[in-house]
Amino acid sequence: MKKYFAVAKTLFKAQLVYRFDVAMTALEIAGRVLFAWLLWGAAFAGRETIGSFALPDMMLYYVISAFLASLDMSGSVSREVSDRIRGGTFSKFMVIPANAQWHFYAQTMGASAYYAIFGTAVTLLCAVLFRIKPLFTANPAAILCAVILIPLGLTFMVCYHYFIGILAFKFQDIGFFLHVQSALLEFVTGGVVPLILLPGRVTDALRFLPFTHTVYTPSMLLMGKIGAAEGVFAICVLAVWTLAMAAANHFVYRRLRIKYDGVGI
Amino acid sequence: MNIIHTSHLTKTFRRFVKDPGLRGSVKSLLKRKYTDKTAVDDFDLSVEPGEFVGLIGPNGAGKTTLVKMLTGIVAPSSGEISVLGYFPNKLENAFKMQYAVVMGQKSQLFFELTPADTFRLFKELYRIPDGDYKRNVGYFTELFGVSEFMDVQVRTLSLGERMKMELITALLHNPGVLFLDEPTIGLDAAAQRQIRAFLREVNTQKGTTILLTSHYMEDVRSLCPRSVVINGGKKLYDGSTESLFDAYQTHKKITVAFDRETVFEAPPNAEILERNPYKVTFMIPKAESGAALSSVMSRYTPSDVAVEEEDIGAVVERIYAGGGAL
Repeated sequence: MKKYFAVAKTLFKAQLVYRFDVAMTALEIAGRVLFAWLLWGAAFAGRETIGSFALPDMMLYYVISAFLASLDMSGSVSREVSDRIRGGTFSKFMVIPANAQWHFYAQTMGASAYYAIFGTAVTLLCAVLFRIKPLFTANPAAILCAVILIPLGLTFMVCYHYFIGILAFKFQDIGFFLHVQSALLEFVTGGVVPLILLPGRVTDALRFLPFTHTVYTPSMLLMGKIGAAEGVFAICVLAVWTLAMAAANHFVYRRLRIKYDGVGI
Repeated sequence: MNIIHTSHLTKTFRRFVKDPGLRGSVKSLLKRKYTDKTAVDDFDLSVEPGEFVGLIGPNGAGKTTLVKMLTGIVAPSSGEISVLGYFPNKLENAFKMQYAVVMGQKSQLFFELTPADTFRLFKELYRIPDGDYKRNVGYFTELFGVSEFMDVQVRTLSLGERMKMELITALLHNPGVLFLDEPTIGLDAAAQRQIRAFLREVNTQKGTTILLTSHYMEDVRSLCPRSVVINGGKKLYDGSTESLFDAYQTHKKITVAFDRETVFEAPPNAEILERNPYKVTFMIPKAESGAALSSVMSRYTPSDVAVEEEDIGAVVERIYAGGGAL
C-alpha cells in the first residue's frame, strides 16, 4: 500500500510542473459553468422548471458535475497504456515490483488529488461569480453515499480505462475505442445534461451501468434530488462493476501479455 | 549453483507481413499474412553468481529477446528458464525485488521530476531500509560524480548523466542480477568510459551478477571475462572473451607519417587502408607486424608511427562469419 501511495505522491509532484495545464483545467471548469449559464438561462426563459430542475438547481448541478468530472484523470490511462504497449515502453511497469493496474490507479489518484485542490478553488470562485445558491442536502446518509461514490467512481474509471488500454496488446491501434468511448462517456456520466431529462426507460437502464454513478448520482445526492436508498443502490452497482472490471483486467492482462508479447513491450 | 539457467530456450514471434505499395496495404486489410520469426533458438545458458557476461550479436540476433525472457517481459515459446530460482514470466514481486534491468532506450526516470524524486519512489517500491538507501545513494552518486545533479530536472540532463541516473536507480535495491541492454548506446567516449568503470566496480565490490548486451565491443572486451556470441537466435560461442579476441582479432593497424613526400612500398600481406604522400595506414596479420615494422623503420625515416588494435567492427564481422568457432 505504501508503495502505491509513493507512486501517487510522485505523480502529484509531477503535476506541479505543468502550470499551464492547471490553468487550462481551471478554465475548463469555468467554461462548463459559463456554457450552462448561457444555455440554461435561455432555456429557462419564461419557464420555472425543466424536468424538476429550477435554474439555480441546474447551475448547482453543473458546478458540482464539472468539479467531479475534472477530478477524473483516468482518460490518460488508456492513452498511456496503449501508447506504451505500441511504443515498446510498457515493459517498465512489468519489471518493477508493483501491479501494473494498481500502479496506474495510484498515479491517476495522484493527479486527481492535485486537480482536486485547484478544482475546489475554481468551483468556489464560479459559485460566487455566478451567484449559485448552495442548495445542498442536509441528509447525512445521502452525503455519506456521495462521499463513497466519488472515489469508487474514480476507481472504476481507472479500471475501465486500463482495460481499454491493454486491448492494444491485441488490436495495437485502439484509437477507435478511445474516440467512441470518450463521446459516449461524457454523455452517460451526466456531464453533458442531467440524466433526469432523458426518457424514463433510458434512465432506468442507465442505473444499472456504472458510468451514471461516477458524476450524475453523486451530484444528485449532494443536491438532495435523490435519496440515500438510491445512493446505496448506486454504491452496490458501482462496487460490482469495479470488482468485475478489476478481475477482468487481471485475467485479460495475463492472457494478452503472454499471447501478444511480440507487439513491442 | 547457477543464478541463470536456460535449456533449449526458444522464442518464436508471429509477424505481420504485407506486399509493398497501396495495393499491398489494401490486400492486407482483407487478408492478413503472417510469418513466424524464431528470435531465440534452442538456447542453453548458465551463469554463476558474480559473473560478468557479455552478450554479443548483430541487430536482430536475439539478444534483446533473450534479456526480455530472462526478465519475464516475454514468455518463452518452449524450453526451460530459471533466474534466481524463479520462472521469470510469472512476474512475481519476490523475483522482481532481486534483479534490475536497464535498457538504453527505455527510462525509469520521471522526466518532469528530479533524480532524487525517482530514487525516493524506488525506495518505497523496493522497500529499501533508510540506512541502505542513504548509503547506496551516497555511494553511487559519489562513484559517478553526479551528486550535483540530484535536484535537477531529469529532462534537462545530458544523455550520459541520465544514463548514470538510470543505473543508480536500478542498483539502489542491491539487485543480485543486473541485466544491461545497450547501456552505452549514443554516449560519448568519456561517458562510456565512466559507465564501464562504474559497472566494473559494482561487479567486483558488490558481487552483482551482470549480463551485458552491447554493440560496442569495447564494453564487452574491457568488462566481461566471459562472452556469449549470438546470431540468428542461436548461440555461436560461449567462453573466454580474451580467447575470442585472440582468435578473431588477427590483424594490427599500422599508421606511418612522413615529414616530406614519400613513395611508400607496402610490406608483403599488408592491406592499404589509406594512402597519401605524407601518410600511409595499412593492416597486417598480427604475426607479421613486428617484422613489417622493422622493415618500415629500416627503409624509411618516418616522423611518427602508430600501432593499433584492429577496428572492433571488423573483428565482429569475422566472429559472425566464422560462426564463433575457435
